[in-house]
Amino acid sequence: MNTLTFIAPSGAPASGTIIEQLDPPGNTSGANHVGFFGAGGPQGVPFAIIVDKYQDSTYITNTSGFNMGVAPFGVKASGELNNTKYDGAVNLANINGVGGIELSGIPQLSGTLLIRFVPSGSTAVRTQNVLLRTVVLNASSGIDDITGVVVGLKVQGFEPAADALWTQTAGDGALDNRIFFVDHNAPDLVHDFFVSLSVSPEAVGQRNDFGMFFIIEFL
Amino acid sequence: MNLKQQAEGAPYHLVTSMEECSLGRFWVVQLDADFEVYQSHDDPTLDESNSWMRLKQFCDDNNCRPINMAFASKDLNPGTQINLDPLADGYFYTRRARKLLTGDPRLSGYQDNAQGVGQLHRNTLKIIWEFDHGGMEFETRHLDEHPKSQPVSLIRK
Repeated sequence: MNTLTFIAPSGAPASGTIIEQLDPPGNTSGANHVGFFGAGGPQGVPFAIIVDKYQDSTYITNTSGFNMGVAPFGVKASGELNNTKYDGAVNLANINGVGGIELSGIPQLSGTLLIRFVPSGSTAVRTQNVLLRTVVLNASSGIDDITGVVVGLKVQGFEPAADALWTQTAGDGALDNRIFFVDHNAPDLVHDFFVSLSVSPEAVGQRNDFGMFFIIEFL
Repeated sequence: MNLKQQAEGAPYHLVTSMEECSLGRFWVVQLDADFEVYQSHDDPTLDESNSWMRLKQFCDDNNCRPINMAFASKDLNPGTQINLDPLADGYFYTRRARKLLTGDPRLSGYQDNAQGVGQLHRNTLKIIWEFDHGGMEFETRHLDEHPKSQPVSLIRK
């Protein structure tokens, strides 16, 4: 069985925490989701992001949106991820409160997420056409069209240590919903991909009707 | 040594008859050198473990090219065979995995796995994905739309 796992990168406060994604099924109190918040985080003030501003904190949360991560649960930073924020220009980021950082100099461990791929069997593989789509979920939680662009919410992203510019994958102005990753041409048994994400609401209200769909080709 | 014998020998180790093919579901390619090559299991003891990539290397080294391709089954059920167009500008094979990260608990953690076969016409790659759990999906990919969307597993004519 091929395994794909979303993990807090080594540079994050919650370093190494696996985002469980309701595994086992019904585990709604676990470290299941990624949430984007205001400066107070999921249990502080302000927890909300101001409309047309970008997030000031990023956390692993449980299904209710509470801060979760490695034990002890509920302690600030236990589920805290690097906060990589769009900083007003396509080549600049604010990372954990430090602004004006050129994307070209951001290391992998400062990414929002590490996505780890382990192919089944014991054969090393190479990868191609690896991408992350910001997808629209319909009312029954399905995806009608994986190429559809989310509206009412801006999402920006880049691959740290590879990209020099943000790519907008959702919201007003987005032309496409994809972030492309660099191919791993050397066969290996484990492939790690890092991504930085920033989110800005275009209207008030909580949003959970979108997802990040990671796609990897390998052989 | 003829081309077929070269394909069967080192370093390519390609399977050139259905009888030698040990997979139940497999790609088969007809070469302009007038023989067929069948998919084989990944072999980590070889410098290149993947048979599709060894086929690509063989074609590059020997100036030959695929002229037809199918995704077939040992049971010879015509209903399950995927036949691509003959004489395409290139042929494609890969495996794929996808996983969804979302705050919606109904679909959190969704993952699927598939194999894809495809054909190139000019700069458009048409891929048929067959999911491991059954079912198919179709994709049309324009190779000039992004510099990172050039698949290494495409064998061009």
